[in-house]
Amino acid sequence: MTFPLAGSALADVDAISSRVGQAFLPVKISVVGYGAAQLPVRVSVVVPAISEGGSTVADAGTLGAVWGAVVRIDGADVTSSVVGEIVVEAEEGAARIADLTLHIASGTTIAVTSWIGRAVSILIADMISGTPLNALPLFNGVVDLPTIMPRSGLLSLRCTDNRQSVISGLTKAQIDALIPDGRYSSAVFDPGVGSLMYANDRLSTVPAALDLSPTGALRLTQWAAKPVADLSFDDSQVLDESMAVDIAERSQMINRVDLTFGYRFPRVKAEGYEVNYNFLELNHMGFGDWVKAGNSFIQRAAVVAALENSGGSVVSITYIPLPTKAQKIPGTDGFWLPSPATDGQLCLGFSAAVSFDYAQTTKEEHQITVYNAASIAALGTVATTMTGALEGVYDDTVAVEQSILLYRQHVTQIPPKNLAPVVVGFTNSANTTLTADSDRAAANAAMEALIAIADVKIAEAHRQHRVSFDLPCSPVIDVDKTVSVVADGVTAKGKVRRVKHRLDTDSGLAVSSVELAICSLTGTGLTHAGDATVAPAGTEEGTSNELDAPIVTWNGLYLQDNVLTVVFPGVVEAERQNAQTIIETMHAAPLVEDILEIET
Amino acid sequence: MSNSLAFFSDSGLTTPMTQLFAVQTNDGSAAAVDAVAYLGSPVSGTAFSASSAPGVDPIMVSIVDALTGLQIPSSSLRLATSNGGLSGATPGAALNVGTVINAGTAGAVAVHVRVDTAATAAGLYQNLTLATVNTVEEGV
Repeated sequence: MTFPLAGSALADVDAISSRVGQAFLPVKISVVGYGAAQLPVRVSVVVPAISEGGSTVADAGTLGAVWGAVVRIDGADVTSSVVGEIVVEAEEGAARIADLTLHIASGTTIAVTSWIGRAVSILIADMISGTPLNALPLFNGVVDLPTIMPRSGLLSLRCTDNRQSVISGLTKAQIDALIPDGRYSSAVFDPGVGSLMYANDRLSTVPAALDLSPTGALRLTQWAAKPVADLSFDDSQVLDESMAVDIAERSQMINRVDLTFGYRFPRVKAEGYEVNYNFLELNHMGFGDWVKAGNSFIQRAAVVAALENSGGSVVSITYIPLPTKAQKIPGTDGFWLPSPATDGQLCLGFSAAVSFDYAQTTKEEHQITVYNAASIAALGTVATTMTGALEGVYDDTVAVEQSILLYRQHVTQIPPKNLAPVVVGFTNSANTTLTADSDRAAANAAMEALIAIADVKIAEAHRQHRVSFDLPCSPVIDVDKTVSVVADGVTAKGKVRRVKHRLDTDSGLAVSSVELAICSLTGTGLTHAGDATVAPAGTEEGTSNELDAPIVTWNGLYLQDNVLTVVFPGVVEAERQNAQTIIETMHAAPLVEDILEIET
Repeated sequence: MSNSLAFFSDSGLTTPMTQLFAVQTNDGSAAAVDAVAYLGSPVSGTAFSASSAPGVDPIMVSIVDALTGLQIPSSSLRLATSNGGLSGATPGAALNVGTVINAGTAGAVAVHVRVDTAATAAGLYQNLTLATVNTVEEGV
């Protein structure tokens, strides 16, 4: 019976009576959790200038600013307990961190560890009227680390937006949806990792950052600045002497990645020979003269044996039959008479298609140069290297060769997994059926992932320049925003890499420190298009070596031993031994430059 | 005695959600804000159902208006179980999330919310709350 602690419930009661008159009434009570989940909705209605970032409650234009923080922990407003500075710091691709300190009345005993994991939200609002107006979010997360000095009356809270746990809680399908342009290869990345590492792997192939908004929503932001800035600032907003420009060292600006990828896999091959032999034609004799000279006829079984003893397999064969009518022996009155019972086992010659089958290990070494020409022209080459490899997973090649031989020689009817078609006069090869994570598609996916990583390395290296400045706290500034600034002789536009909001409840100072990531070569915002990320073509199956003709010898003349031998040319070394092919490819990496101009 | 059914800000149910915050402009020009809350319990092994008739009645998520302080109408919100469903959702209407919610991340229900206010005075509006019907939590 389910028995809520509030409300009412009906109980079904089963009574079991015994003949001796004692009654039992089993009562089973299930006490269950009862309640309703609630989620307060807070809608801050602000003037457009605030939401667009043109105005900020920490500045208030010509009026005196009366800003205030609104801090809630587990839904309870604790703003009045906050002392000192509230610091909220966001960095692209990292967890948002908040630090704040609460005053706890002296003598109060608290369980510090119970604060871990409590939900924290921080807003900044205009408090000129005493109630929050034009409130905007700065932080949403949980307490990560509470710290208390005994008898200090102060409880410090290090809070996190929980980015790592949030991503760790996603399924791989959800991560794929979040990073739709990301690439993945089990040959490049460890397939056994959890969701966070999986997300990082995919992120390493796209020039973008995955982080949480101030309200806790996951979002992917491209590194490249938007064509039109989300927010613009000038001397009237930027705090005096806060502007700084930090130019990256040349050695950090990688503009070429020498990528080597090895792909090793087997192919099955077939050398196709046409063997023709007609002893009458070779000896320029008629049938009667051949018989008159006492020569032999060829045993058909000896033909097949000779071909197979040489290591080949008879794919097809036709024989030149003995005459079926009586033949006059020249210069005599005699005739050769056919013998239907035995003539079918003999022949005057044959035409056969013979194959020699084997497997060959092929190794492709892809040397892919990923580069940005504009950067190399401007800075000279700053190179690094990357390597990768994949081995095609297939059956043991010796067993494969045996299997093909048995099938070709009709010893077994079970077809081998792969068989190279016989092309007479040539060596012909066929791809093998490899496992899905080691076949050609997997190799291509691996190379494309590596090329994408190299693209990202080059893009990342070129956005190491930094422009940083302070301004009255503007909560609209976040790491998903493109900001342009014209102040203190600096003209720059770029994506926000880091922002730090500091709200000092004691001094009344509310400042946002902004750092822009700047990708710059010329400083004028040029875009350098790159190549599409496509794996280079590999070697192909098909015909290669043209074959020499085999030599047939038959000792069929009078008193000879009647032995038939067929000698095939040997397998060319290059066709049998490991094949190594170097494939060189160039791939242009894209760069989207930002604006960076500095007056001296 | 409450149960462990709650709203979270992520599908892995790692971060409890104690408020759904949205910013709108007083001239009504701001784009609607879409958010998603995950209704569930991180500790598996139990299931939740409506206390009125467990397993029979649906678990409804309603928009409750406290009718105090600054007020925006409940029609400022739309609820759906997918983002694509928000456009067709009736403003202010409750959302049926099924008769049973299993605890654990696999059982979490995404509640998509669209906040779109008409022109109204600037201020912080806190009169609305999303609330489920009373539920019972039982072992499975």
